[in-house]
Amino acid sequence: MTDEQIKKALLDYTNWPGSPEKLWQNIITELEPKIPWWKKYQIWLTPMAAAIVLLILVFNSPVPNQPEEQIEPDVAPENMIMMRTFFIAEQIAEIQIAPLNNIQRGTPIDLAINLTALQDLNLTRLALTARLIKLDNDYQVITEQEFNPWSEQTLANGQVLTTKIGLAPVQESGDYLIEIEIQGLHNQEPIVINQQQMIEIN
Amino acid sequence: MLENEQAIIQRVKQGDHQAMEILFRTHLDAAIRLAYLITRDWTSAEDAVQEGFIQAFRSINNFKDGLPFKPWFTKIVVNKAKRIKEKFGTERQIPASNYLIINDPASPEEISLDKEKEQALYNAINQLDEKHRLPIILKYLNELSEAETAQVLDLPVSTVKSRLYVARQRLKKHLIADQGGVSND
Repeated sequence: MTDEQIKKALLDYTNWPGSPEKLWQNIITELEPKIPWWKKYQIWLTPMAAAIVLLILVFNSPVPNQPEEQIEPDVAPENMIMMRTFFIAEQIAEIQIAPLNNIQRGTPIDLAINLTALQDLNLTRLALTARLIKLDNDYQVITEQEFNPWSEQTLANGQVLTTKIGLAPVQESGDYLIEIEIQGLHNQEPIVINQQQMIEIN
Repeated sequence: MLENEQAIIQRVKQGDHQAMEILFRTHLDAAIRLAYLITRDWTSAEDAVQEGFIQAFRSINNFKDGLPFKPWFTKIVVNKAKRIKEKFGTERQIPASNYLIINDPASPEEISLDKEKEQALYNAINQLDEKHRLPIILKYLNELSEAETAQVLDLPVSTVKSRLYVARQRLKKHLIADQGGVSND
């Protein structure tokens, strides 16, 4: 009984009848980060909101035979519409999320959050909501916590606001999505900025 | 080859799906045969290998640079296969004696003497208990060294050596006892 005979016997009777392509597809599908269905359409939500605002403005604009509404002398009415929709269609501020430690199950999830102004703006009454979503079949929101580190502050052009937050520990390892949502007022109009980041908890 | 594998692993660490597919295709064959020999069922073997690759890719950042991928990945597959085997018990398993019939449709008269000896040897391997069968499979099918086999099975190298020796002795005895057995060493 030689080494070669043992190897040949093992090889000859273990020929897999399956498909490598099918198995690879199963694996790669599992590895793709699972995003909640509404996230897939998020790219359309901003233009859609802009379109709705535009329609509202168009329907609320004065009819031709009514007295002309007073406007600022250097801004034409069509440009005013553009300005009103501008902050909805464009990204005005950016959120950065950075874990502060090696995240393990059973330990608090400490995060550093930066909010950077990308344009000339004046954001006030900022409120921060953090969600932790389990990336499994149900996309279950494990934790939702509100923080108010900047409620008394204003984010102006060129400024960066920073804070540290701690989310409650999770007991199950796996892939999670951290979602940070910041609400505030810009020129007395409510705005929402959000950002997501995937993390693996061991 | 090893350097090439290290370069591929670095790409996998950066989330490169093409590099993941290269690792998958390189290690699939040995992994699926190993999982089958542990679980004795192709569906369970596929589940074990699929879960093994997913775990390996998800935890690739824990893999130490410079080490060979095969022993690390083989350990994952062995653990997955054992867990699936325990989960399903004998429910999915095909008895070892049925393998030969399933894998070779030829009638006993048509099977050549060499083939008959090979079948007897395969049967003898399958009748070894798991602690002696696994070192044989890892050494001869997966081509791991004794040190790598020890790493996969969490055993001292001396234990792996003694189990390989005992396993070979048992195979020899089994084949001698079996008329027409292979005993040419």
